[in-house]
Amino acid sequence: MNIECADVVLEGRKILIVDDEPDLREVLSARFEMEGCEVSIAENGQAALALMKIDHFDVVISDIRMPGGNGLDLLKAIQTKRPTPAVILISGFSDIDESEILKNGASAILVKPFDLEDLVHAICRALGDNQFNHQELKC
Amino acid sequence: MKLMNTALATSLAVLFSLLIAMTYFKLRTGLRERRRAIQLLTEKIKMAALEEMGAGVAHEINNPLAIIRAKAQILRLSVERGMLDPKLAQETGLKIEQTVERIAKITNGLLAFARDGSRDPMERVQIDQLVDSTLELCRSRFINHGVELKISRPRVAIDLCCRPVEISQALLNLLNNAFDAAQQSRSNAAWVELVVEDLPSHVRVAVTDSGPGIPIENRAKIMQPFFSTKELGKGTGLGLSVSKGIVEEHGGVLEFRPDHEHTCFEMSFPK
Repeated sequence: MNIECADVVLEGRKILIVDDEPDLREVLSARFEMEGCEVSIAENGQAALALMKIDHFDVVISDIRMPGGNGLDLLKAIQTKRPTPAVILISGFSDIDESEILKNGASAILVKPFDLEDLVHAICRALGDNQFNHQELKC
Repeated sequence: MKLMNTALATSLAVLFSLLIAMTYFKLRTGLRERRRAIQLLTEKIKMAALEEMGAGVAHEINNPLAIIRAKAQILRLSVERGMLDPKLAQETGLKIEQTVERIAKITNGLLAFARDGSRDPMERVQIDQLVDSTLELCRSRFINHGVELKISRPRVAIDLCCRPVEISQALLNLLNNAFDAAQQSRSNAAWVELVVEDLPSHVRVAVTDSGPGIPIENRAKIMQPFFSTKELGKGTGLGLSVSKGIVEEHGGVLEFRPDHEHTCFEMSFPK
Protein backbone atom coordinates (compact mmCIF):
# COMPACT_ATOMS: atom_id res chain seq x y z
CA MET A 1 0.00 0.00 0.00
CA ASN A 2 1.34 3.41 -0.94
CA ILE A 3 1.81 6.17 1.59
CA GLU A 4 -0.99 8.58 2.29
CA CYS A 5 -0.78 10.96 5.20
CA ALA A 6 -3.20 13.68 6.30
CA ASP A 7 -5.20 13.40 3.07
CA VAL A 8 -2.11 13.93 0.92
CA VAL A 9 -1.49 11.39 -1.83
CA LEU A 10 2.07 11.26 -3.11
CA GLU A 11 1.26 9.38 -6.30
CA GLY A 12 1.66 11.58 -9.38
CA ARG A 13 3.43 14.38 -7.46
CA LYS A 14 6.36 16.03 -9.20
CA ILE A 15 9.48 16.05 -7.06
CA LEU A 16 12.83 17.68 -7.83
CA ILE A 17 15.86 16.30 -5.98
CA VAL A 18 18.92 18.57 -5.82
CA ASP A 19 22.18 17.16 -4.44
CA ASP A 20 25.78 17.01 -5.68
CA GLU A 21 26.06 13.40 -4.48
CA PRO A 22 24.94 11.12 -7.38
CA ASP A 23 24.27 8.08 -5.16
CA LEU A 24 22.01 10.09 -2.89
CA ARG A 25 20.09 11.52 -5.84
CA GLU A 26 19.62 7.99 -7.14
CA VAL A 27 18.45 6.47 -3.84
CA LEU A 28 16.02 9.32 -3.08
CA SER A 29 14.61 9.05 -6.61
CA ALA A 30 14.10 5.32 -6.11
CA ARG A 31 12.22 5.92 -2.84
CA PHE A 32 9.75 8.42 -4.33
CA GLU A 33 9.32 6.43 -7.52
CA MET A 34 8.11 3.62 -5.24
CA GLU A 35 5.28 5.99 -4.25
CA GLY A 36 4.45 6.71 -7.89
CA CYS A 37 5.99 10.18 -7.90
CA GLU A 38 7.47 11.76 -11.00
CA VAL A 39 11.08 12.51 -10.02
CA SER A 40 13.62 14.84 -11.64
CA ILE A 41 17.18 15.41 -10.46
CA ALA A 42 19.70 18.26 -10.52
CA GLU A 43 23.28 18.42 -9.24
CA ASN A 44 23.19 21.98 -7.92
CA GLY A 45 21.04 25.07 -7.44
CA GLN A 46 21.73 26.51 -10.87
CA ALA A 47 20.77 23.28 -12.65
CA ALA A 48 17.62 23.12 -10.49
CA LEU A 49 16.56 26.66 -11.43
CA ALA A 50 17.12 25.83 -15.10
CA LEU A 51 14.77 22.83 -14.75
CA MET A 52 12.20 24.95 -12.91
CA LYS A 53 12.02 27.34 -15.85
CA ILE A 54 10.60 24.59 -18.03
CA ASP A 55 8.65 22.59 -15.49
CA HIS A 56 6.65 23.00 -12.29
CA PHE A 57 7.37 20.88 -9.23
CA ASP A 58 5.23 20.22 -6.16
CA VAL A 59 8.24 19.62 -3.94
CA VAL A 60 11.93 20.47 -4.11
CA ILE A 61 14.30 18.47 -1.88
CA SER A 62 17.66 20.20 -1.83
CA ASP A 63 21.04 19.80 -0.16
CA ILE A 64 22.25 23.02 1.48
CA ARG A 65 25.95 23.17 0.62
CA MET A 66 26.81 22.31 -2.95
CA PRO A 67 29.30 23.64 -5.46
CA GLY A 68 27.63 25.75 -8.17
CA GLY A 69 24.64 27.27 -6.42
CA ASN A 70 23.76 26.27 -2.86
CA GLY A 71 20.42 25.28 -1.34
CA LEU A 72 19.86 28.55 0.52
CA ASP A 73 20.15 30.65 -2.65
CA LEU A 74 17.86 28.16 -4.35
CA LEU A 75 15.34 28.45 -1.49
CA LYS A 76 15.28 32.25 -1.85
CA ALA A 77 14.88 32.03 -5.65
CA ILE A 78 12.01 29.53 -5.26
CA GLN A 79 10.07 31.89 -2.98
CA THR A 80 9.58 34.24 -5.96
CA LYS A 81 7.92 31.49 -8.04
CA ARG A 82 4.13 31.10 -8.27
CA PRO A 83 2.80 28.61 -7.42
CA THR A 84 5.58 28.08 -4.91
CA PRO A 85 6.74 24.50 -4.49
CA ALA A 86 7.30 23.15 -0.99
CA VAL A 87 11.02 23.08 -0.17
CA ILE A 88 12.66 20.55 2.12
CA LEU A 89 16.33 21.15 2.82
CA ILE A 90 18.78 18.38 3.72
CA SER A 91 22.32 18.75 5.04
CA GLY A 92 25.32 16.75 6.17
CA PHE A 93 26.29 19.62 8.48
CA SER A 94 24.62 19.89 11.84
CA ASP A 95 25.74 23.51 12.46
CA ILE A 96 22.89 25.05 10.49
CA ASP A 97 20.69 27.92 11.61
CA GLU A 98 17.35 26.09 11.46
CA SER A 99 15.11 29.00 12.50
CA GLU A 100 16.69 31.32 9.91
CA ILE A 101 16.17 28.74 7.16
CA LEU A 102 12.54 28.09 8.15
CA LYS A 103 11.97 31.86 8.21
CA ASN A 104 13.20 31.95 4.60
CA GLY A 105 10.43 29.60 3.53
CA ALA A 106 11.70 26.02 3.94
CA SER A 107 9.04 23.55 5.09
CA ALA A 108 11.52 21.34 6.94
CA ILE A 109 15.21 20.66 7.42
CA LEU A 110 16.61 17.18 7.85
CA VAL A 111 20.17 16.37 8.87
CA LYS A 112 21.91 13.46 7.13
CA PRO A 113 21.78 10.55 7.73
CA PHE A 114 18.04 11.12 8.08
CA ASP A 115 15.31 8.48 8.20
CA LEU A 116 13.70 8.24 4.74
CA GLU A 117 10.29 7.93 6.34
CA ASP A 118 10.86 11.25 8.15
CA LEU A 119 11.48 12.78 4.74
CA VAL A 120 8.32 11.22 3.32
CA HIS A 121 6.27 12.54 6.23
CA ALA A 122 7.88 15.99 5.99
CA ILE A 123 6.79 16.07 2.34
CA CYS A 124 3.24 15.00 3.22
CA ARG A 125 3.05 17.73 5.87
CA ALA A 126 4.49 20.33 3.48
CA LEU A 127 2.08 19.38 0.71
CA GLY A 128 -0.81 19.55 3.18
CA ASP A 129 0.29 23.03 4.25
CA ASN A 130 0.73 24.12 0.66
CA GLN A 131 -2.77 22.94 -0.27
CA PHE A 132 -4.13 24.87 2.70
CA ASN A 133 -2.17 27.96 1.74
CA HIS A 134 -3.40 27.84 -1.84
CA GLN A 135 -7.00 27.56 -0.69
CA GLU A 136 -6.42 30.56 1.58
CA LEU A 137 -5.00 32.51 -1.36
CA LYS A 138 -8.07 31.73 -3.47
CA CYS A 139 -10.34 33.23 -0.83
CA MET B 1 112.73 20.15 24.28
CA LYS B 2 111.49 17.15 22.27
CA LEU B 3 109.68 15.91 25.37
CA MET B 4 107.99 19.31 25.80
CA ASN B 5 106.88 19.34 22.18
CA THR B 6 105.37 15.87 22.52
CA ALA B 7 103.55 16.89 25.74
CA LEU B 8 102.26 20.05 24.04
CA ALA B 9 101.12 18.08 21.01
CA THR B 10 99.37 15.55 23.24
CA SER B 11 97.66 18.31 25.25
CA LEU B 12 96.53 20.03 22.06
CA ALA B 13 95.21 16.76 20.68
CA VAL B 14 93.27 16.10 23.91
CA LEU B 15 91.92 19.66 23.91
CA PHE B 16 90.92 19.37 20.26
CA SER B 17 89.16 16.05 20.84
CA LEU B 18 87.39 17.58 23.82
CA LEU B 19 86.24 20.50 21.70
CA ILE B 20 84.97 18.16 18.98
CA ALA B 21 83.17 16.03 21.57
CA MET B 22 81.56 19.12 23.15
CA THR B 23 80.48 20.51 19.78
CA TYR B 24 79.07 17.11 18.79
CA PHE B 25 77.21 16.84 22.11
CA LYS B 26 75.85 20.40 21.77
CA LEU B 27 74.75 19.75 18.21
CA ARG B 28 73.05 16.49 19.20
CA THR B 29 71.28 18.13 22.14
CA GLY B 30 70.31 21.04 19.91
CA LEU B 31 68.93 18.68 17.27
CA ARG B 32 67.05 16.71 19.92
CA GLU B 33 65.57 19.90 21.36
CA ARG B 34 64.67 21.15 17.91
CA ARG B 35 63.02 17.84 17.10
CA ARG B 36 61.07 17.93 20.38
CA ALA B 37 59.94 21.52 19.73
CA ILE B 38 58.76 20.59 16.23
CA GLN B 39 56.94 17.60 17.70
CA LEU B 40 55.09 19.77 20.25
CA LEU B 41 54.19 22.39 17.69
CA THR B 42 53.05 19.70 15.25
CA GLU B 43 50.62 18.40 17.86
CA LYS B 44 49.24 21.91 18.37
CA ILE B 45 48.84 22.48 14.63
CA LYS B 46 47.29 19.06 14.22
CA MET B 47 44.62 19.81 16.80
CA ALA B 48 43.88 23.16 15.14
CA ALA B 49 43.64 21.47 11.73
CA LEU B 50 41.36 18.74 13.09
CA GLU B 51 39.13 21.41 14.60
CA GLU B 52 38.98 23.27 11.27
CA MET B 53 38.29 20.07 9.35
CA GLY B 54 35.77 18.68 11.83
CA ALA B 55 32.62 19.92 10.11
CA GLY B 56 33.91 18.93 6.68
CA VAL B 57 34.79 15.43 7.82
CA ALA B 58 31.38 15.04 9.50
CA HIS B 59 29.79 16.00 6.17
CA GLU B 60 32.02 13.54 4.30
CA ILE B 61 30.79 10.78 6.60
CA ASN B 62 27.15 11.84 6.93
CA ASN B 63 26.62 11.79 3.17
CA PRO B 64 27.61 8.13 2.67
CA LEU B 65 25.77 7.22 5.88
CA ALA B 66 22.61 8.77 4.40
CA ILE B 67 23.10 6.64 1.28
CA ILE B 68 23.54 3.43 3.30
CA ARG B 69 20.52 4.15 5.49
CA ALA B 70 18.30 4.98 2.52
CA LYS B 71 19.45 1.89 0.58
CA ALA B 72 18.76 -0.37 3.58
CA GLN B 73 15.32 1.19 4.11
CA ILE B 74 14.37 0.75 0.45
CA LEU B 75 15.47 -2.88 0.65
CA ARG B 76 13.30 -3.44 3.74
CA LEU B 77 10.34 -1.63 2.20
CA SER B 78 10.65 -3.70 -1.01
CA VAL B 79 10.44 -6.91 1.05
CA GLU B 80 7.47 -5.58 3.06
CA ARG B 81 5.63 -4.67 -0.14
CA GLY B 82 6.50 -8.00 -1.79
CA MET B 83 8.31 -6.28 -4.64
CA LEU B 84 11.91 -7.33 -4.01
CA ASP B 85 13.83 -7.81 -7.21
CA PRO B 86 16.89 -10.09 -6.62
CA LYS B 87 18.98 -8.08 -9.11
CA LEU B 88 18.13 -4.84 -7.32
CA ALA B 89 18.91 -6.45 -3.96
CA GLN B 90 22.31 -7.56 -5.26
CA GLU B 91 23.11 -4.10 -6.64
CA THR B 92 21.99 -2.48 -3.38
CA GLY B 93 24.18 -4.81 -1.33
CA LEU B 94 27.17 -4.01 -3.53
CA LYS B 95 26.55 -0.26 -3.26
CA ILE B 96 26.29 -0.50 0.54
CA GLU B 97 29.63 -2.35 0.66
CA GLN B 98 31.30 0.27 -1.56
CA THR B 99 29.88 3.09 0.55
CA VAL B 100 31.13 1.49 3.76
CA GLU B 101 34.60 1.29 2.18
CA ARG B 102 34.35 5.01 1.38
CA ILE B 103 33.66 5.81 5.05
CA ALA B 104 36.45 3.47 6.20
CA LYS B 105 38.91 5.34 3.97
CA ILE B 106 38.00 8.62 5.65
CA THR B 107 38.14 7.30 9.21
CA ASN B 108 41.44 5.48 8.55
CA GLY B 109 42.90 8.68 7.09
CA LEU B 110 41.72 10.62 10.10
CA LEU B 111 43.20 8.12 12.54
CA ALA B 112 46.51 8.08 10.70
CA PHE B 113 46.58 11.87 10.70
CA ALA B 114 45.68 12.24 14.37
CA ARG B 115 48.37 9.97 15.74
CA ASP B 116 51.93 11.11 16.51
CA GLY B 117 54.07 10.20 13.53
CA SER B 118 57.25 11.94 14.63
CA ARG B 119 58.82 8.73 15.92
CA ASP B 120 57.77 6.67 12.92
CA PRO B 121 60.60 5.09 10.96
CA MET B 122 61.33 6.58 7.57
CA GLU B 123 59.64 4.51 4.89
CA ARG B 124 59.36 4.50 1.14
CA VAL B 125 55.83 5.52 0.11
CA GLN B 126 54.20 6.50 -3.16
CA ILE B 127 53.61 10.23 -3.09
CA ASP B 128 50.35 9.70 -5.01
CA GLN B 129 48.85 7.73 -2.11
CA LEU B 130 50.09 10.30 0.36
CA VAL B 131 48.45 13.10 -1.63
CA ASP B 132 45.18 11.13 -1.93
CA SER B 133 44.94 10.40 1.80
CA THR B 134 45.62 14.08 2.60
CA LEU B 135 43.02 15.28 0.09
CA GLU B 136 40.49 12.88 1.60
CA LEU B 137 40.63 15.03 4.74
CA CYS B 138 40.05 18.41 3.14
CA ARG B 139 38.37 17.88 -0.24
CA SER B 140 34.82 18.41 1.06
CA ARG B 141 35.82 21.71 2.64
CA PHE B 142 36.91 22.97 -0.77
CA ILE B 143 33.78 21.67 -2.51
CA ASN B 144 31.40 23.05 0.08
CA HIS B 145 32.88 26.52 -0.08
CA GLY B 146 33.09 26.63 -3.87
CA VAL B 147 36.90 26.60 -4.02
CA GLU B 148 38.02 24.66 -7.07
CA LEU B 149 40.80 22.17 -6.38
CA LYS B 150 43.05 21.62 -9.41
CA ILE B 151 45.41 18.69 -9.18
CA SER B 152 48.26 17.94 -11.53
CA ARG B 153 50.53 14.96 -11.00
CA PRO B 154 52.63 12.65 -13.13
CA ARG B 155 51.15 9.37 -14.32
CA VAL B 156 54.17 7.40 -13.14
CA ALA B 157 54.47 6.43 -9.47
CA ILE B 158 56.99 8.48 -7.48
CA ASP B 159 58.53 7.04 -4.33
CA LEU B 160 59.49 9.26 -1.41
CA CYS B 161 61.47 8.20 1.63
CA CYS B 162 59.72 9.94 4.52
CA ARG B 163 57.56 9.80 7.62
CA PRO B 164 54.21 9.84 5.76
CA VAL B 165 52.11 11.25 8.63
CA GLU B 166 54.45 14.23 8.95
CA ILE B 167 54.55 14.99 5.22
CA SER B 168 50.76 14.68 5.11
CA GLN B 169 50.62 17.20 7.97
CA ALA B 170 52.90 19.65 6.11
CA LEU B 171 50.89 19.31 2.91
CA LEU B 172 47.60 19.78 4.74
CA ASN B 173 48.93 22.96 6.36
CA LEU B 174 49.77 24.36 2.92
CA LEU B 175 46.38 23.33 1.52
CA ASN B 176 44.49 24.85 4.47
CA ASN B 177 46.42 28.13 4.13
CA ALA B 178 45.74 28.17 0.40
CA PHE B 179 42.03 27.49 1.03
CA ASP B 180 41.80 30.47 3.42
CA ALA B 181 43.61 32.72 0.94
CA ALA B 182 41.52 31.55 -2.05
CA GLN B 183 38.36 32.48 -0.22
CA GLN B 184 39.54 36.08 -0.31
CA SER B 185 40.08 35.97 -4.10
CA ARG B 186 39.37 39.26 -5.79
CA SER B 187 37.98 37.54 -8.87
CA ASN B 188 34.89 35.32 -8.74
CA ALA B 189 36.85 32.15 -9.38
CA ALA B 190 38.46 30.83 -6.20
CA TRP B 191 40.90 27.98 -6.77
CA VAL B 192 43.81 26.10 -5.28
CA GLU B 193 46.27 24.17 -7.41
CA LEU B 194 48.35 21.24 -6.22
CA VAL B 195 51.20 20.21 -8.51
CA VAL B 196 53.42 17.18 -7.98
CA GLU B 197 56.46 16.96 -10.24
CA ASP B 198 59.11 14.30 -10.65
CA LEU B 199 62.35 16.16 -11.38
CA PRO B 200 65.78 14.55 -11.96
CA SER B 201 67.19 15.31 -8.50
CA HIS B 202 64.10 15.95 -6.41
CA VAL B 203 60.34 15.70 -6.04
CA ARG B 204 58.49 19.02 -6.15
CA VAL B 205 55.13 19.53 -4.44
CA ALA B 206 53.72 23.02 -5.03
CA VAL B 207 50.51 24.56 -3.67
CA THR B 208 49.28 27.73 -5.37
CA ASP B 209 46.16 29.77 -4.63
CA SER B 210 44.07 32.44 -6.30
CA GLY B 211 44.13 34.64 -3.20
CA PRO B 212 45.15 38.29 -3.05
CA GLY B 213 48.84 37.44 -2.46
CA ILE B 214 51.25 38.12 0.39
CA PRO B 215 52.27 41.76 0.86
CA ILE B 216 56.01 42.31 0.26
CA GLU B 217 56.52 43.57 3.84
CA ASN B 218 55.21 40.23 5.24
CA ARG B 219 57.17 37.87 3.01
CA ALA B 220 60.27 37.72 5.19
CA LYS B 221 58.17 36.95 8.28
CA ILE B 222 55.77 34.29 7.01
CA MET B 223 57.96 31.36 8.06
CA GLN B 224 58.47 32.75 11.56
CA PRO B 225 56.57 31.00 14.38
CA PHE B 226 53.46 32.83 15.60
CA PHE B 227 53.35 35.16 12.59
CA SER B 228 49.83 35.12 11.13
CA THR B 229 47.89 37.34 8.77
CA LYS B 230 44.65 35.52 9.54
CA GLU B 231 42.02 37.15 11.74
CA LEU B 232 42.46 36.72 15.47
CA GLY B 233 41.63 33.21 16.65
CA LYS B 234 41.62 31.72 13.15
CA GLY B 235 45.27 30.85 12.62
CA THR B 236 47.85 29.56 15.08
CA GLY B 237 50.69 31.29 13.27
CA LEU B 238 52.60 28.02 13.48
CA GLY B 239 51.54 26.16 10.34
CA LEU B 240 54.28 27.32 8.01
CA SER B 241 57.10 27.25 10.56
CA VAL B 242 56.19 23.72 11.62
CA SER B 243 55.82 22.57 8.01
CA LYS B 244 59.23 24.08 7.23
CA GLY B 245 60.71 22.19 10.19
CA ILE B 246 59.16 18.92 9.03
CA VAL B 247 60.37 19.34 5.45
CA GLU B 248 63.89 20.23 6.61
CA GLU B 249 63.95 17.19 8.90
CA HIS B 250 63.43 15.20 5.69
CA GLY B 251 66.38 16.94 4.04
CA GLY B 252 64.06 19.04 1.90
CA VAL B 253 63.21 22.69 1.44
CA LEU B 254 59.95 24.59 1.91
CA GLU B 255 59.91 28.01 0.33
CA PHE B 256 57.66 30.78 -0.84
CA ARG B 257 58.07 31.46 -4.58
CA PRO B 258 58.09 35.25 -5.00
CA ASP B 259 58.61 34.85 -8.75
CA HIS B 260 55.25 33.11 -9.19
CA GLU B 261 52.26 35.00 -10.59
CA HIS B 262 50.07 33.80 -7.69
CA THR B 263 50.86 32.81 -4.11
CA CYS B 264 52.90 29.64 -4.38
CA PHE B 265 54.57 27.54 -1.67
CA GLU B 266 56.84 24.76 -2.77
CA MET B 267 58.22 21.71 -0.98
CA SER B 268 61.21 19.94 -2.54
CA PHE B 269 62.43 16.58 -1.35
CA PRO B 270 65.68 14.92 -2.43
CA LYS B 271 65.20 11.62 -4.23
